[in-house]
Amino acid sequence: MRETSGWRGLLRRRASASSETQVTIVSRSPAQKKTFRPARWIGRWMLSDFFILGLAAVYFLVLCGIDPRMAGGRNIANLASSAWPLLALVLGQMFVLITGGIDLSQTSIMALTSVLGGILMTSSVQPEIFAETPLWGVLLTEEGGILAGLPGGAPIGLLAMVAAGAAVGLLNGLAVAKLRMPPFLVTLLSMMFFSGLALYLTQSENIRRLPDAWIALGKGQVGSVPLALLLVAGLALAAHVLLQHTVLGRWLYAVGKNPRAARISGIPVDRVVIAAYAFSGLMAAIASILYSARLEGGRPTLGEDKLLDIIGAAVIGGISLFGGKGRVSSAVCGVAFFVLLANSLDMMSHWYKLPYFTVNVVKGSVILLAALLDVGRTWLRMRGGGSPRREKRLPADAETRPSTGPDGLRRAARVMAGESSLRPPRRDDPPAAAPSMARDPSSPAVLEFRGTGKSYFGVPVLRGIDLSLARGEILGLVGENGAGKTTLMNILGGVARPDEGTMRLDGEIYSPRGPHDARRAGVAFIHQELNLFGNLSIADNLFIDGFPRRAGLLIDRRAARRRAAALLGELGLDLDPDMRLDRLAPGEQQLVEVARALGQGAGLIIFDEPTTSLTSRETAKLFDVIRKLRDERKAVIYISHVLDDVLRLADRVAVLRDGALVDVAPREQLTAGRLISCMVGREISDLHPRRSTRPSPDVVLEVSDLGREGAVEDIGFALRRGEVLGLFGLMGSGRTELARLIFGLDARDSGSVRVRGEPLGRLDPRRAVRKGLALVTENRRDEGLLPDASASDNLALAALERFARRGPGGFVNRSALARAVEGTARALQIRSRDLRRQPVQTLSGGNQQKVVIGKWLLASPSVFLLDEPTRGIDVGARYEVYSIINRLAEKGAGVLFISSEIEELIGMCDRILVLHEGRMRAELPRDAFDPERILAAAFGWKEER
Amino acid sequence: MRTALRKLFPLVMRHSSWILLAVIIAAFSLHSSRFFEWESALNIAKQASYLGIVATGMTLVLLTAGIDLSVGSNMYLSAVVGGWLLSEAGAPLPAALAGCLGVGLLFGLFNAVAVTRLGILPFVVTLATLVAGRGLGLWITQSQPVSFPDAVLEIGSARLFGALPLPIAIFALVAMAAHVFLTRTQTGRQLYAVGRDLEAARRAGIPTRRIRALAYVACGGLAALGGFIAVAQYGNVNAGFGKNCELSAITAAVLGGTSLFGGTGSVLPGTVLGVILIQAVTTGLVSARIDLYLQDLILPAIIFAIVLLDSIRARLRGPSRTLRRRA
Repeated sequence: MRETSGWRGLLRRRASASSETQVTIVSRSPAQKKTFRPARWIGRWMLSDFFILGLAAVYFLVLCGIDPRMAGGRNIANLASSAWPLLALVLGQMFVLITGGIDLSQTSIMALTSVLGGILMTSSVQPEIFAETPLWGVLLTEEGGILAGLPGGAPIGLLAMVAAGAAVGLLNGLAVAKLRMPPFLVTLLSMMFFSGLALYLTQSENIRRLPDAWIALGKGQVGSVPLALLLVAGLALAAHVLLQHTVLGRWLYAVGKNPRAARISGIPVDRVVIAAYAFSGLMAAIASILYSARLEGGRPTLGEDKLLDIIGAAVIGGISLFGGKGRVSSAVCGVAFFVLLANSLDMMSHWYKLPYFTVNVVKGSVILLAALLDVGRTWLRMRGGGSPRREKRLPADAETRPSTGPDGLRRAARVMAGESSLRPPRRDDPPAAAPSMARDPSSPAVLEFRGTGKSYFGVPVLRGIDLSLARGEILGLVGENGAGKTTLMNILGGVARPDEGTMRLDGEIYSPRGPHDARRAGVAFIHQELNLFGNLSIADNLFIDGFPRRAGLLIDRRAARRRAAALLGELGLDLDPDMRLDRLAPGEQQLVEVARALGQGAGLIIFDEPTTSLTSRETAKLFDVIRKLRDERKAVIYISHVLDDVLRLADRVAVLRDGALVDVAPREQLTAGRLISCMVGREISDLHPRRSTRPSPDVVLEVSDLGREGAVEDIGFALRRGEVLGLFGLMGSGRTELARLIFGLDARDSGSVRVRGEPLGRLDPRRAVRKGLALVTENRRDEGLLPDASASDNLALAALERFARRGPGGFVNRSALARAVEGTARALQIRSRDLRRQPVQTLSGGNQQKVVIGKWLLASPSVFLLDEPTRGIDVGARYEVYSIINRLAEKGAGVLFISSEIEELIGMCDRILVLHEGRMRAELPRDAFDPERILAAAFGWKEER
Repeated sequence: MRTALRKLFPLVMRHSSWILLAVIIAAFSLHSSRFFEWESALNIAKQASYLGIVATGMTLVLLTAGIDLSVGSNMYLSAVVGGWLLSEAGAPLPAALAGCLGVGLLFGLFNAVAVTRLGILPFVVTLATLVAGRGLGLWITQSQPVSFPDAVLEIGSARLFGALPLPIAIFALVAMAAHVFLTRTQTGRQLYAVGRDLEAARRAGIPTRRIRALAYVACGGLAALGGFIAVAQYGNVNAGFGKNCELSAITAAVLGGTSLFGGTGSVLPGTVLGVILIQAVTTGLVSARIDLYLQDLILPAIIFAIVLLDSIRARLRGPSRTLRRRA
């Protein structure tokens, strides 16, 4: 991940400043759509692969203008002959880059295969030179290579070269995929090894007298077209078809974008990665054949300096080193530009007697410029797609905002109707409390928002917020996803800056320019995802931006330890400050973050969804700490989707909807029902939809005696057709581990899993998917989605093979696939501006979850394992997810519904299983549902009878 | 018996690099008794010192989850400028040394700006400066070798207190300073935080840009210093000086347990151990009179084995973490 660079940040600020023009784009009418906008047109062209090709053409024409010799026949031939082998190399490299790897060993593969081909096929060598080489007398004699005299020896030899290249690539791939070693290191070592091997085999000597058939490949022509061109063009075409039209091609991109999600979707990730490296090696061998033919010799130093050309051409063509991006056209354009550049520099240094060394300086600079250009293009694409690509956490609210979809229109209509003005004009609402009301008149407002507003991409996400907070008060902040909670708090925490309005802290104007300022002003922001560093000790984490120091330089470790222990003690944590943070439980880590805020002398502490990964016991402890903070006259803002928690904890609750404050009231006047209706703007009478069918007696999933050391043991149950089976357990009870075991993500120690009576056998997700299992994991972003791919691509992921003839190499029936994807998107009501283009990471949480479930629908599984399917999605979207679950059951699937919320399990399930410490503690039929009994079993209490 | 093995296995894995060093020393000592002598140990350390200094800088960059491929070219360019100052400009030795280090720091600063300000990938930036830097150096020398006055060579062969070769002393000083910086200063701890999670570090109020820039600048400066030490030992600089040094520096750091993904690693014992390991193998292979070409095959194979062990070790650690969470 990269931090926002200076000028990108600048551009983004400009983008938000020019909000007015953006609004007109958002609400464009068909007539406006057709107007010619040069800026947009240029922008679009800059995004296309052919931008580079255009630049190359312009550059070439200019050069020809300067010196007509550039366009001369000899130079053109020269240009072309150096382009084909490089294109082969870049194509191979691209496959590896797409999977998110890198292949540094291509150069050594070239040397090795060149030498190998020479040894096999040379017609004669000088014995006085080669008698010392290790293969003398084995493959190489005074009569030349072993294949030299044979009829058909040359084709066999060339095939052997290609096979050797692919074999080295295969080894690289095996080390990367199976041994899980970093690609950079693997290919670096194999580069060292195989170039060493090439030198060893020939003792640094070149081998001459290659067979004519080989040389013809590099120099021959068919008519007036060079043979090499035909060969490489054919390969490029094949690569294009492979990438764009086959299952394997789609898998390559999926693996590069998110290997974990790809694995869960049933993609054989290891084999895809191995194939990419093998292809890279194969292409290197082909390049080696062409280069050696041109040089008429097998050379152990072949390709020594080619790495720069390969990576340079790839980068210039716009192939991302982060994986998941790159097309054959990018490779072609990159190679064209790079070859032209190198050639023109060579020519100029030759004609004008420029020192040759300038060539390298210019080459390096051009690569830097190309990379810079790519940064700019990425930025442009982000603007088009709605969200930065590599900046993982755009404020969550902004993600859902670009509101041209039906959802946005509905909201816009509501705004127009005045429904969500600052105070809802609803008659049944009790009179809202004055926003500036302080709980205790003697303590003045410590924080005050006045007219605060903010827009992203020209779309307002916050409007005219007036809100205040007193010392010794806990303010609850609730709202649907996208209501503006996080943005408001980001403004307070200095992460984002408001466009309008003022903030006052202790009566003083407060405008933080970054998290640093906020912290100095005593505002601490405890994010949903913790800002802690697992690789450091607790004490390091507590003082990471302000260690106690001796003489202003060295850390005073004793003082740090003492102060850390004191801070931890204040929160009732008995931990060694020197312990590495990643050894702590999530709840303890959360409290360490609170301790850090206290250590920085924070007077105002913001908690953003702090309980999502905590057990109930840890939650209770956290609440005690928060109450203690209040009693110490600190101000606390508590944001959560768990309304009961908010009502239990907060003194006052503020409700946001569509970026506006719709209600602020003391806790005593509030109920969960009122909060929900305020948040949604409509009453939700029934939180859980009814199902029309009952479970049938056929068992679809049978688990018996399943166990894995340290996770679960002795688990057995049966899931029936059309049944929704709940699985409840506290954090750490093994509920997620159980789902992963059934699906084959982790290896089991004992037991068996049967799907529709058939045993699952060897565990492996791909097998599980084929047998009809589907898994929706608890974290969508890491394991469910390809975040920067479109909804369409995500939906197609698990079912690609069903739309292809003859396995992974077969062609995907794209129109049938597109129809199926669109059908699913419609059925699930996935709201996206553009199914095929908008990256899913810019959709709201609810829509993302629908995409994850929809991905499985296309593979039509018979068992769904849903792990926390409603985590982090708002009330309205929850209802939709519940409806989808019901529909799955109605259509005859079995659903295992894992959740840590008792209410939703009781509302949705036919039966509930309860896990405690990896063991099954209770199985309750629908008529025996009782929250207390479920919770008691989850805590491991024995039932009294 | 089985439980004893089970306990022993992780212990062996955890200290695999040390055990390997012991095995290598034992093996070469068996082969030739001269290997196991104080003088040859000093010799190994002396030859390792220039690479060690470069690898120390590389470790800083790797800790921030970056990479610097340009150190070899940086060594060449700064040494060339130092040599030019000495011979052509007639500068005194300290001024030449300062000029040489200055070039290295500037080189690092260029990388730092491109990475942190322009937001270009470290791999691409430093690959470009790898090529451009050497081109610049060759331009200055017209690819002629540069020789240095004897005063420089004397530095290479000088001994501190008559016993400790100066290159070793400088390497030790650099390693100690880097170790103290990484473990005992706020900026050092922040370097680890930045490498672990850049975004979280930014939100925690750490000046991430300055920290990352610092790593590249320091790496540039140390590359120049390492280059100078190498010159002081060999006496001249030819066109291939420092070539592939980036690869040795990276492998040394990785052998010492520094992760290419950032946030994990150390200079002491880590990188120092890695450098000594590489040099011990090289020296051992030479003293065992193994075919020169075969030497180039054995070293990567050994490194591969160590890295493989390391990745197995990382996987062994995997499941125990879930256990701990449950407890």
